[in-house]
Amino acid sequence: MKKTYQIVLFIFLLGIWSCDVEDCISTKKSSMTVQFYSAEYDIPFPMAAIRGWAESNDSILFDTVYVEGFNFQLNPATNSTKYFIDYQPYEIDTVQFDPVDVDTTWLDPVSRFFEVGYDRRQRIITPDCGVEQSFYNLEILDHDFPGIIIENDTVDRYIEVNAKIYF
Amino acid sequence: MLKYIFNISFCLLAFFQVNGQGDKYVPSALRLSAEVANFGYSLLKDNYDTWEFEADVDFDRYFLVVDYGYARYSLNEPYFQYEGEGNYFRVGPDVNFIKSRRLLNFLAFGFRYAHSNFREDLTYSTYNSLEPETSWPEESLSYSESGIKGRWFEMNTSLKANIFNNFYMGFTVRYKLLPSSIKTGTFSTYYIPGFGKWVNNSNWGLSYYVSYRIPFRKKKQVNILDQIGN
Repeated sequence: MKKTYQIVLFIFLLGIWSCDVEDCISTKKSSMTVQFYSAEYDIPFPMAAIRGWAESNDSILFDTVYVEGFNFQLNPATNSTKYFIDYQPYEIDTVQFDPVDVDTTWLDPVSRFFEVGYDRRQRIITPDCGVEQSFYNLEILDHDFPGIIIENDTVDRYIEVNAKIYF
Repeated sequence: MLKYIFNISFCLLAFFQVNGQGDKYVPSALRLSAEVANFGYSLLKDNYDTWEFEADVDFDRYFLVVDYGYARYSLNEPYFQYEGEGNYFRVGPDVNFIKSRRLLNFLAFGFRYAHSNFREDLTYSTYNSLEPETSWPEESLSYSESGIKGRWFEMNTSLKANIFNNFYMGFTVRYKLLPSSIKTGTFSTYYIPGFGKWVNNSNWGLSYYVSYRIPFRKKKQVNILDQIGN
């Protein structure tokens, strides 16, 4: 009988000991990472961006920058976000590979857009850590760029590129 | 559900009678229990309400146990408010390892199938779910899910001791195992009534019961000296 009580006590203590400690670690983020590509050469290529902004958002995402990629903040309250980008396209005249040197001809600025759709899911991490929102099933709903490819449809800190925009 | 349990009980009764087991497996009592530990804790906490009742009936050393309960758990944090609420039941067998029937004490091991039907509400600010450099304004979003179903299995160890007359007290330690994830729409389930917080697919639980045994048949007394002799 004494042995049985000891077994019951052991199971009880094992249960207390194995209780998981919750932490605030989250791998989710709220922006999709876009890499700009040359539509002509299919290689990563910096965009001479004049301005970028999102529909329903007064803030300017970027302003007169020369960028190879950008993190586009997704609207946390809706299942799609439409982005507009004004940029200055250029034609590549010559490419020298060693050392790398590119001669370009600047063209008139253009304004293009892309709209991305996604699903959202919320999870309470812990009462202290709060709510984590994840974005997944990314898809391009509409655009007028020469091409856009979704590389990874889940927004995660460990995913380097979500989409390639060809311009 | 209770209809099925009664049907199963009567079928078992008939089976043992027909198979000439005598009255060994004929139930002798119904024991009704009220859970007091979690209920008492809920009286001290504003964000937690629960009650649970248990009924068991004996078939010699084997018991058919049914639990029915309710639980509500809420959180009111700076950036979110949450509430989960629903009912649950558990059903399964117990085997009593105490052979002596003198005091009808109970040290048992058993399994349970458990089912919960619940709803969850979540209101949260997007503030702490966005990256610090976000350009989106802070918004308050609300989601509600009802009719969520959770099913899990339990391995239980129970100890119930006779205090006086037909009154018993004792506890049950539960190891709960959720075999698969729960399908919900917009947000991940946080609290399952009867199971607890769904952090992992397994959980531990402790219930403390006060019970009253209602005998409806005199069980054959086993001589304690014979037991010792065996």
